[in-house]
Amino acid sequence: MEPLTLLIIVACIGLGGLLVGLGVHFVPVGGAPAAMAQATGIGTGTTMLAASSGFLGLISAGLVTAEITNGKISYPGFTNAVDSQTLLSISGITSNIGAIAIIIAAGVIGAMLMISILCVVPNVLYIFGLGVPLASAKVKFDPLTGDRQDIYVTRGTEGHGTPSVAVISSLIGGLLAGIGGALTYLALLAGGFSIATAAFAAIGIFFVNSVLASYNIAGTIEGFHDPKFKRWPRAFVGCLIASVVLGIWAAAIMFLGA
Amino acid sequence: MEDLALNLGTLALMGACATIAGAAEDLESDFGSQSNANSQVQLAPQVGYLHRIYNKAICGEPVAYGLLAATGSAIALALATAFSLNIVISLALGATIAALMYGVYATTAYMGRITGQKRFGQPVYLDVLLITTPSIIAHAFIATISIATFSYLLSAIIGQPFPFPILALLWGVMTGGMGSAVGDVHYGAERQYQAKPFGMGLPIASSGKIIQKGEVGLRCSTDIAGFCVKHGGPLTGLGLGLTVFIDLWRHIIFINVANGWGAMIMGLFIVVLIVAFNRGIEIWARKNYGPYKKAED
Amino acid sequence: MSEQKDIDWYNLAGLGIIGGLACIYVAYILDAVLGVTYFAFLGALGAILATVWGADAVRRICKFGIGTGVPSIGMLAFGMGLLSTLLGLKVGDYLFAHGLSTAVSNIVIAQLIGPVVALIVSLIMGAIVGYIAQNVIKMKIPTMQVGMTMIAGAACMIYLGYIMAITGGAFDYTNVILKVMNTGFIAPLFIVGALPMLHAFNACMGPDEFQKRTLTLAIEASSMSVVIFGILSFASSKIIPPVAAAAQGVASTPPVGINVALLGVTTGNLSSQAMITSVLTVVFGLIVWAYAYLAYWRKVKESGVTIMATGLIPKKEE
Repeated sequence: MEPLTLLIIVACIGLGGLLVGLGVHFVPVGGAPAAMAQATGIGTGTTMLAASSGFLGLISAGLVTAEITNGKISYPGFTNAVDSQTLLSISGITSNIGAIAIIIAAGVIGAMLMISILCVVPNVLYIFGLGVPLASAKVKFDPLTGDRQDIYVTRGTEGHGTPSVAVISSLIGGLLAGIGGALTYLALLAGGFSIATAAFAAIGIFFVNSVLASYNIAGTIEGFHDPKFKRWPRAFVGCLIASVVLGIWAAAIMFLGA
Repeated sequence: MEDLALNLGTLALMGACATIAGAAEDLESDFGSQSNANSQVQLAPQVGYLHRIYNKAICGEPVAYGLLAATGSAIALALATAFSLNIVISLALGATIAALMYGVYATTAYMGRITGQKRFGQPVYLDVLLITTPSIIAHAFIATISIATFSYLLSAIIGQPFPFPILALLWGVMTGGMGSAVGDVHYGAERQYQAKPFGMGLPIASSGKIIQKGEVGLRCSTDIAGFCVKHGGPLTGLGLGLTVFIDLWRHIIFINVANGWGAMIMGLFIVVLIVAFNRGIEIWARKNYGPYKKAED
Repeated sequence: MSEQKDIDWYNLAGLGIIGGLACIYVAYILDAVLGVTYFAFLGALGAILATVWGADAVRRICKFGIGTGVPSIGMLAFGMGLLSTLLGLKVGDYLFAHGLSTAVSNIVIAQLIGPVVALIVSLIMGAIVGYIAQNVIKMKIPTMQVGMTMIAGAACMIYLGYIMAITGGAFDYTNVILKVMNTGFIAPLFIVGALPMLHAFNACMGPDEFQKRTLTLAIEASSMSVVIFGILSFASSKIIPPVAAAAQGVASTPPVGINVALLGVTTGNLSSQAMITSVLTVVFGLIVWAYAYLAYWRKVKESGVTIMATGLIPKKEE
């Protein structure tokens, strides 16, 4: 394989992992306290919430790749480029940009769909099953809608539910995680891994970045309006290094003739 | 046209399986008091509130359901490949073996956590172990076979290229995430702290003071599941079923529009609808419930 | 109650690395020399030893409180371990194809190098991620650097041991891709392999946690994994590459629920050798499980926790 293609593949894997790590910071996570209506956010762990949304993106991206391969949607040249391992060479990218774009878009839409349902269905439970309004205890006024928050928070808690600003923040998180997952999968597929190997290696890289980002957050975060969000540069560096090293291992396998 | 009918019919079956899987997942996690609400069950003896609730601390729900679904579907694949068994029978056998393994993990987790905290005086109740574990295994079986079935359909008929054990792992993680986000709130906030008045969150000072007494005698995990099956369980199922159904519906119907971009635009439109719905219920709640205290300014 | 001294973690690392590699090599050599596949279960034994090592390393890290829960560390380790292990096995394959193709009474020397390279790459990856966690993300856990390196190494050995169990004794790159990745068996391998390592500490966590009890639980949980992988190995002998069938005139059927481009399945019944190999692995797992579960139950009783058959909440003596 050409050295430039290998370099592009490593860069794509590094970028994909980095976007996943950043996306984790945008998703509103309340953890165990949220399940007791003691904290704002969704009541799942940081790692697995981002993983849930990224995985639906990966499944959608895989499905669209299959539709291109069996000709249901027409992007000629894609299948040949993947088989001859030239998809991510400079000429391969320019001639297959439409196919690459739609696969990444599929990843984005899948991830955004999952994370929005994960935000809204618990809100239905909070409002109708528990009888609490959605409120955040970290800000006085919702930055996007201007709604007053503090008087709607139960005394003694840190908020409950997922208000609008947190929902929009989660969509941004889903977008980044979706791009990251789909890009990693595409980069591994372009290097000659079989579909299953590319998918599972992408899942592995996804987990590594998701866990490192959750170590950075260390518990709960409400989204981009939370003061904890300012910690993102540490995760930026950490996830970038980890993903690039994993990309180098993958490129080494491809170089030895996957 | 036939292709479309086959795909849509499969999609309907997948949506139904996903709904059942979500409901069973939430109930199983209520029987075992897993993940989120379990933190309170573990805290309670430390603040003096001994109880008879099952304390299953294996791992979070997403990982647990990833475990169950991946194992169940892989065993199904292995049996169908090695012995040419019918896939339906293989799926049932695979789900049984996975659920049994999970039950063993549950028993060691119950014993282990209580032993690790023996200084607080919480006893290991053998009858809690023996009565609740079969319910856990049963609901895990239902959830596993449902997830494995719709993963198989996704791979075999809709044509997703990943091998179906990998799909099952991914959907298992998503099912666990949905159950943890939706169903656990009903258990943790409403049932576990039933003395808290309806319409407020749980103050931090009340953490750990869970309800010990039940309708007759002491509360146990079966009572909890019996309550949550009325709201939390079905809502979790609805969430998962909606996810599976919407994501594939927009793909199957619109993938041929604008060379594939129709499905993406439809997906974006649905996300906007969901966010608008959220805004609607948020405003409804603020208007109808009102603030907890008057604004001072 | 007297505090027994914990087993030093470098000793356990030695057990994991040397014991694990020894089991894998003995299994491979016996199989190659005798021309059978019956010794695949020894690979599973290697994975059990590596799980004990990994469980102790998890214990050392998480005793300081990592804030996000124990299972995520296992996902991190196995995510890192996957690409590292594949790279190591690929190097072994490459050496065989391009030079070091000597075989001594059926033992291919290049094959034996693969696991060592995999282990070294995993340890390097673990050291890098440990450095990131400790110094970039600033987690302030003193045992993080060494602990993360050990967990990554343990993950690699666990992968290799269970891969031997699933494929019926093979661990070369081509067989791994065909029989473990393309079938999707990597999905349970990832999670059922990781869980015993995490479950041991997660289940026993608390102020009265005791190392011997935790490690007994690690053995119990990993032996259940051996049973599962033994069941998966029934299918391995029937799996062939998708193009091989037509080329060799071997009768094959499309695989159930798997994309036809990934693999093919031979028709006909299982050979008796494959059947015996898989049954051996399953029975080995069940015997170790029964013994370990009873040992764990005994340790729970010995620890002095109140065990009641039934009853109300005991009154606390004031």
